[in-house]
Amino acid sequence: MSGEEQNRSFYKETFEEIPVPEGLAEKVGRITEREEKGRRTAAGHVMRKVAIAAAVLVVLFAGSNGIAYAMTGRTWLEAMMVRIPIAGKEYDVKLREQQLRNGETIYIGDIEAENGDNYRVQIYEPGQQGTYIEMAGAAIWMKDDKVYVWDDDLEIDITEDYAEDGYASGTYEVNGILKGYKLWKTDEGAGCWIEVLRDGEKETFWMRDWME
Amino acid sequence: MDTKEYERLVNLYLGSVYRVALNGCTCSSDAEDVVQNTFIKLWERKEAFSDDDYARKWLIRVTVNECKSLWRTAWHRKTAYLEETEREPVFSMPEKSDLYYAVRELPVKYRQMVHLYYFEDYSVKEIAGLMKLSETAVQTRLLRARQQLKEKLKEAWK
Repeated sequence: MSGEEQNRSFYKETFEEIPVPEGLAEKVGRITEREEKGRRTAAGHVMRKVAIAAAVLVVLFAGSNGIAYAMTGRTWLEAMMVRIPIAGKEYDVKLREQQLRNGETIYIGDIEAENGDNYRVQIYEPGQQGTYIEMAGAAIWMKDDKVYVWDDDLEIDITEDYAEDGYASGTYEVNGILKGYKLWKTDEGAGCWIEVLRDGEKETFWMRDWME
Repeated sequence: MDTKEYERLVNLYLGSVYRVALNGCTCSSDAEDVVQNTFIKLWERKEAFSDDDYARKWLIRVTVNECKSLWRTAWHRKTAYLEETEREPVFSMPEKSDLYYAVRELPVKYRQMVHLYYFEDYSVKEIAGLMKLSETAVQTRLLRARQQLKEKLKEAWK
């Protein structure tokens, strides 16, 4: 048996001894009972329509001063309408309400697309975390007049660039992958864009909000 | 998904899903949340699986994505759950306990990769596809993880 095979065998024997926590099997078993209620609670009034077509994707909004909503006087929940059109396909997502351990409420919608990729939309209730948008592993975070791009261990402060004219863009490399970002805000709305160059293939992810 | 099939898959794969979640989270409470979210998605799934191995891989993919969703978020990355008391497992041999803690001390981004490679027998290419990384990045992280395990475990890790 080679060294790597011995490592694998040792690893498997070790982790097979880790028990599933007491009570978890029961909680998982009860999912069939409680999910119908969750679906009914969250679906209609939070997000009227979401369309997504991208690889693994997370969109998070937090705070009542969301990117574009303040100027209309409507709350972000009332105004929320997000479209993320990629590859010409739109998916409707139903949200379910979930309580986090810290007391916050999160609304989650999941889609398994035709190509087998999984998609997720998450919306946080107004809180102190600012506005957070994440796509393709890159996150744009706006809090206390500061704007950052996050990706893995990388943090880029784009506050000044964005403050000048409501537009910021740039490129960076993380884990051997080249990525580009754009973030904009105008009177008509706001949005962001992430481009990923992976193994010679270019993938573009973008989202923006529409006001009704 | 009907209840009977759901329960069958829970019995088959709850352990696997929990172990993948545990290796992708900073604490066992987060892992339990991930497990529950994963099985909610299983319950909501409309299409049947062609076979159990496909079901296993689907569950692992969802679990990995759930973990990423969790620890990528601002408040999870910036907030440590140090106040929580961890439920640590008891092992049959001290060497296994040493391995468990050595793995737990690896950065989260290495840990899940190591688990998929050594426990679930995923290839570098499969891990790269699952985690949306280049194969080179996966190889580099696995190499660093192996080196760190070797430093901690000495001759117990080849």
